[in-house]
Amino acid sequence: MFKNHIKTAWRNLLKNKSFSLINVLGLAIGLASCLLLLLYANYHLSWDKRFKDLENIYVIQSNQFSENDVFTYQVSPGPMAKAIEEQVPGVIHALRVNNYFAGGITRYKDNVFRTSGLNADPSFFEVFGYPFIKGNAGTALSAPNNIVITDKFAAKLFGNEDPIGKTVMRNDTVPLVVSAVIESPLPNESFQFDYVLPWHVLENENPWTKDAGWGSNFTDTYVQLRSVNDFKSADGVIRKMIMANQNDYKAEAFIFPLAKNHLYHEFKDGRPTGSGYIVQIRLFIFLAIAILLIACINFMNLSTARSQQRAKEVGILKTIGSGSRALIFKFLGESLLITLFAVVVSIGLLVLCIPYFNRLLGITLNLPFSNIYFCSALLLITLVTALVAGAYPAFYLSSFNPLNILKGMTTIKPGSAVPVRKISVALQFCTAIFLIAATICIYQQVQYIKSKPIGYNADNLIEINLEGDLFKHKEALQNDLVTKNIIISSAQTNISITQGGNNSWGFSWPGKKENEKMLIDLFGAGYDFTNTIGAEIIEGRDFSRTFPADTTGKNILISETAMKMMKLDAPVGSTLKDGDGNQYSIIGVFKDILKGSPYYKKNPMLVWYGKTLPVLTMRLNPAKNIASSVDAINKEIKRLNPSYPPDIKFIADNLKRQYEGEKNLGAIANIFGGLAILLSCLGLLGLSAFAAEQRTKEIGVRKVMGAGVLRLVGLLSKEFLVLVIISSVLILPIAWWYMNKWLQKFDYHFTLTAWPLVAAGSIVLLIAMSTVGYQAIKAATANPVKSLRTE
Amino acid sequence: MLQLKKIYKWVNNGNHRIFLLKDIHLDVNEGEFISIMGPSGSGKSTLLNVIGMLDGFDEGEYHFSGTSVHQLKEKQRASLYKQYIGFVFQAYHLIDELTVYENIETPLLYQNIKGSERKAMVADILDRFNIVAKKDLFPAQLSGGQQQLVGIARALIAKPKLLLADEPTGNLNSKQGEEIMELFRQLNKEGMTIIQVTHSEKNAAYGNRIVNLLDGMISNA
Repeated sequence: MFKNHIKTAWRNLLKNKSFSLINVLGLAIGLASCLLLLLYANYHLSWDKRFKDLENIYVIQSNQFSENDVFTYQVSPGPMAKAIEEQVPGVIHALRVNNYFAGGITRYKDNVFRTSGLNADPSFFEVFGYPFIKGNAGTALSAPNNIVITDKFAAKLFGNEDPIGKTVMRNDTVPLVVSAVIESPLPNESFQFDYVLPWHVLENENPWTKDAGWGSNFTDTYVQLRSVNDFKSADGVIRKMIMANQNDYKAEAFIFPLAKNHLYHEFKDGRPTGSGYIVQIRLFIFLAIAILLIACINFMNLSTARSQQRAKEVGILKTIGSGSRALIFKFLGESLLITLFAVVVSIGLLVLCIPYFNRLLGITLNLPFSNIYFCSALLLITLVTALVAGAYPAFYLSSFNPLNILKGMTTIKPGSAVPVRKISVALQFCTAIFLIAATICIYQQVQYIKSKPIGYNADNLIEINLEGDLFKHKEALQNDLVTKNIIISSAQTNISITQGGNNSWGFSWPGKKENEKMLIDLFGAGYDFTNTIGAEIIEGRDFSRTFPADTTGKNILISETAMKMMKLDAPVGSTLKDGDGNQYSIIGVFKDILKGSPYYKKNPMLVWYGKTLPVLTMRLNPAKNIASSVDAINKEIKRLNPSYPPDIKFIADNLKRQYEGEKNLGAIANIFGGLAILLSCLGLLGLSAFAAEQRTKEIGVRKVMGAGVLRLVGLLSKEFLVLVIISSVLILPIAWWYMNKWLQKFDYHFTLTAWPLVAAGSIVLLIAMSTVGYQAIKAATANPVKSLRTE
Repeated sequence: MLQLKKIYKWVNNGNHRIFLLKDIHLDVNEGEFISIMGPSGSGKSTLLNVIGMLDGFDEGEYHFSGTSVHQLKEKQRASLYKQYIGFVFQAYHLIDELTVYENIETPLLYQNIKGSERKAMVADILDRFNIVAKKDLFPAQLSGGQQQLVGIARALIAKPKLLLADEPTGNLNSKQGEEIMELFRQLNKEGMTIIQVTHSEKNAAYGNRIVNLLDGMISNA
């Protein structure tokens, strides 16, 4: 009997190819979206889960107290780890881990790579259980010149050679001996590195860190406790540590579970709020279930829409002896078959779109078929989907009275299921309209921000880090490139102009009120700074070689916003004082330039003079071909600094990255908006097909009475278009409110007008019209003789 | 074999009660071939459905092979007709997705008969009806007469005691119709009890008794 069911199910699928295609595809798309979202959620939920003792590992967070606020940062002072290990009960290890100073160039023979790494105390590998391929955790970091590399990096650097005992050069100055090879960090782990260095390397390269006291936060500290029971007492002791060791400094360190650090990383008033990225993950899981449910509802709609065709079969089977239960199993089997197809198709879809999704979001998802949990989850989803999608049609179809069916009375319980379906289709349309409106809004916002002036000219502007020997030869490089006409000017800066950088609350200015405080961005630059980037001086002058006094560092430039906020009538010549009482004289005011995020208000900015700074910003000669100029600069850098691979960055590219977050959001809204439309149209298709089928006789009669095709199409389409219009009316105010709220997040945003909303509504209406119209025309042009004939 | 006593069946239409069947008495003996006749709307099909237990009735008694059908529950009734009654329809009602072979086999699936036995039974009946060559065709590939032949084969496969046929030749041309009626006569000779509904005097004459219905009542017996 089971074989027979499968056989009829299969033949049924083949017989109604377009129906089966729609059903399989709809379900497949729903399943693929659901699986993708679940994979994404799982990617984040399994963050750091590889560390075996994860529940006992904690990371130090520090509360910094200002006058009326508490800020929580993941930082800690250098001496803390040792103090914790010695003084706090229940601690197995406390160790420093720092990734800020460990990056650099790593060379083995002629293989040179720009690399990132960690500096860590020796217990690193005992706390974090990275699997060792060669070497062992106990001694990996014991010698001060050790380096532990990942297997991926080992393959890059050494090829097939055995790395153990080999010497590699760090920044061409520090020789290090490979002591162990470990498995590479997974993409969803807190530490990302090519290698791990002993802490000693950091102290050698940055001698100040040796004596840095309790007031200098420059490292992360991790603590491994014996058990969860030790948390309370350990935390209590650690909270008192900083203030006990450092006078005049209000700060409090506490331990926070590493297991929660990724998803629950939100603090308010110095306390974890229990919230964070987990909110989004929960949303994604909810979305995954919702999408699958919508796909299931569509499946139901489409299946019951074909009830008339299936009814005859039910009638016959019942008269020749089938019970309802056998029929229920039969139809469930059919839905299982379709679901299985859909799962296969959805996996195909995922294989195609996961790389795209990964690129879009900068993550690494994959389909772990070898993972038993994944496979059983897939199986479970398949079964549940088949059951949810198939149960209603199965019970509905198998409940038919055989006598009525065989008499030709197939309009059983007319309309009984329609309200539920109508509501579900309306909800789908609400979602679709909302997402499309959101897409248009996000797109407009990104365009708006892009069109805002950034205060300088980013075209043809490039920057390089003055690393290795380049630092010594920077003047030679600058002069050389200018004389060769490759660049027209250049300026040194302390960091990239597109980075955030330092800021300070400590400044005072003439006319400053007692309680007035201003956060000022600080930026260091050499000669020709405004000239090179194309910023505009509106008062005074730039730093200049003709004013030797500039080199003392006592002369500064401020931005227009700074001038306005300080309410300086004659800014040039005014004096600012920093927190330590040093005085600075303003020699010029420049028009605001964009630093940091383009979405938020520009902070007031102060530019100080630096003679030797680590970043060189250059303007290419616009008259020359960019590619050949870049080649020429690369050659020059290579000549002056042969051991480092050149790394030229375009400022315009850096700026583009600033829009990426919102652009990704737009892309995701777009994708899921498209999916929502597709799914809701499938739903509509099912619903209108069902209605057309139920009204076949009515249509036939009307036609015989002389109704034209157009009128019939109108009759059939009307109620569904009303459905779409009602959805629009319901959702558009919500979309309006929500988008406005989203825009309020940004200091700079466009004014939301009605058109994105109207456009979203119209697009959906148009698509819905063509879907329903197709069904209606099909029904209205059918030959009435057929529909009126009773067998 | 079966006995209907004072069978009434009605529908309520507002305050009116419209009788579909009224005071029906009918005794059917084993081996009879009965034709039910009457104008459209006289209740022929309704009566056949009541006999076939596809439809219930509102008053009266129905005994089938010693079982009181009117006292049975839906499920028991279903198992009773499954076992003893075969149906033939005017519109054949074959399952379009199944081949001739599979269509005929289907009733056996619901009676938990073993695969090998099923095979033998289907092969037997295919042979008897001379349709072995058609066993892998689908209904749509057959003529109406052939489809009805399959329909009858399916009705007979489970070896019922009673064959009910509702206008079995209604959709067929006269030659095909004759063949089907000849088959019925042959089956009857072999001992099968048959009740058919028909419009045609000629077809009715194949039977050995005619029941005339008018407005839900038997006008002569």
